[in-house]
Amino acid sequence: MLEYKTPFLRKKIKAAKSVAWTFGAIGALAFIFVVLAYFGVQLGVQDSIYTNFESFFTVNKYLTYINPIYVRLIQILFHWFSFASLISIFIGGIILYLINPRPSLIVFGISFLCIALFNLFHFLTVEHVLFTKYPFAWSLFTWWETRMAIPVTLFFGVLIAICDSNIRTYTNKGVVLVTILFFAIFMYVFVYFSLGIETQPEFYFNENLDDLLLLALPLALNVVVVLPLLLAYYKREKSYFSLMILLSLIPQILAEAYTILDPNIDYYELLNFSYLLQLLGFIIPSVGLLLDGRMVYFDLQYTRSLAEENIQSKNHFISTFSYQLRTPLTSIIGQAECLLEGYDGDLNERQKDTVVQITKSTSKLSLIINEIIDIAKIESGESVYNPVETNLCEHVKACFNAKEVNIKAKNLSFSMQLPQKPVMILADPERVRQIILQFIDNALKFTNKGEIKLSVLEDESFGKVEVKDTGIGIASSNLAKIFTPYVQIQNKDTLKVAGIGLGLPIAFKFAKAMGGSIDVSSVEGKGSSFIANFKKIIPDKPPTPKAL
Amino acid sequence: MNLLIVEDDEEIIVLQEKVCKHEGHNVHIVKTAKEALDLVGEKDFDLAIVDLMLPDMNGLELVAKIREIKPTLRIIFSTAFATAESEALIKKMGCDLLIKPFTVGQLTEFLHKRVS
Repeated sequence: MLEYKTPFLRKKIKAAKSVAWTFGAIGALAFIFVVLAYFGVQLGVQDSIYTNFESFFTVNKYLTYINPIYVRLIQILFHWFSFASLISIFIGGIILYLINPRPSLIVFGISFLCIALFNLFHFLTVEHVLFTKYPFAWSLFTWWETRMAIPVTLFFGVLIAICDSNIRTYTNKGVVLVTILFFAIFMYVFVYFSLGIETQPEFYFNENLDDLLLLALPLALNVVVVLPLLLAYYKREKSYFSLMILLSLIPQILAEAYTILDPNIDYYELLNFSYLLQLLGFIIPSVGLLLDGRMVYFDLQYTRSLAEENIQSKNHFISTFSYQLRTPLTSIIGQAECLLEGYDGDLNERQKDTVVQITKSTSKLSLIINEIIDIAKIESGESVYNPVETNLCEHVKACFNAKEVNIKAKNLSFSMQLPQKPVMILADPERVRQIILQFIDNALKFTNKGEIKLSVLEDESFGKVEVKDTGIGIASSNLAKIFTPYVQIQNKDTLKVAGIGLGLPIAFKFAKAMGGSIDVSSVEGKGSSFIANFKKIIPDKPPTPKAL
Repeated sequence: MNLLIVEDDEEIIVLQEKVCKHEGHNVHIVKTAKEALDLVGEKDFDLAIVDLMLPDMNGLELVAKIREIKPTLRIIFSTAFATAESEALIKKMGCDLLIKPFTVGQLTEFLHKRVS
């Protein structure tokens, strides 16, 4: 039934919404950070000796002119902020992938995790946590971490995504597996290689990074290889995320170009212009996730409203249909009764038998119709009960009397245990009886020998009625199923028993609607115990009935 | 006892008429609310059985109008469709409710309750 799918959808919608909000927040924070860093540093060096635009950002040269604590703060914030934004792209990508599987989310998500780890390595090196034996600057290692990691990682990522032949099915588990495996090996090789650096000084460059090949390689990779591949990929999967991954390359390319155009700039000094551009490159995919999350959110909301509309129209159809059945059924039941009562003259025994068969069938039919109407009412959220103060023991007595004949006819012992004092509950008397009768009917259906026992119990806040039988019982794996509409546990014993499987779900929902609950315990082959809990009247604090 | 049946379904009319006549009551039958209001003005009734859904008016509205003419007339509502709200309202009005499919026993029980 659709009703049971919407809570699941609701969870997805919530997740998509929080992805959108999170990336909105990250984007906004990052933007504020970039602006603050830019103007803060600019203000700090205002009175200093800078003469051209470039030197705004090469802070470390002018450290003596600005507050070193401020610079340090920005440095630390910069480290962790770019790391956090990269990691969040990974997490957001995975969450969105789980809601709406598209290969770009998982492939680029993992690519960004990889970039984040490279970043972390770099920061830990800069902060002298790792590789303390040699100065970090100018090493091949640092060059790789800061400049090569992004194009190389994105290159492999987009390659995996493009090679995925089933890209349009969006559910390829292979692509997920290949991506994870590939990047795991990639990172392992990198770490293995980096650890070697501590003992192998030949990996270091000379002091002046004047090798044009090394300078131009990242830029060339970005422009010649990654950009066309990402463009080709965007044509295959037109999502905000893949578009933003493509756009995020632009600041990266600008950063590289900026470095090449002015080779005197200290690329590895913190907070130079290239770095801010790089951070911008990290933020852009977040915007993609924000927009994608938003789109998925609206899509799912639409799906949910459609599903709910379906349920509403289904419920409406069922109730209208059932009510329409009731009127002709009244005439059939009534006229058959008139015949039996002799309103239209006396019947002979055989005629009477025939009419009795008609009335039996019509009352079964009437019961089924009532059950369908009840469940349709509950599912459409209509109020189904009028709570009043009432004595639970009275209802149990009435139900006992009503069912005594049927149970004795099956040669079962039937007993009742009531407390001395009345147990006052706040509930709809008709619904209370309906629940108890349902329990007794159920026990009667599934018990062939032994006994059925009714008892009234109470604790501080609930009046309880227990119906215990020595019937076929329910397997523990099936216990949860018995309250699901239209489900009947199938085995050779239950096949003999008629019913459409609505009785217990209705009882369960009524009990819940009246602020109570139903507990079941059962041992297969030995018997079952059903307990309905009804809210008690507490004199000082009258309980308010919960709406369904 | 003079009974007024306000009901639009042929078969239900036949059934209710049969049971009420069998119980020895005078039965007047109308199919619309308008006819019912006209008849209530003319004749003196002890009890009315009113369908909740009539072609020209809601049964609850009809009873409210009947009560303006005859405040003491006793009413039994009959319906196949009753929400918890309408049930509560009917109880508040001091009327009985006969939910279709009702049995002959239920109908006669209500009739006897009114007679006594």
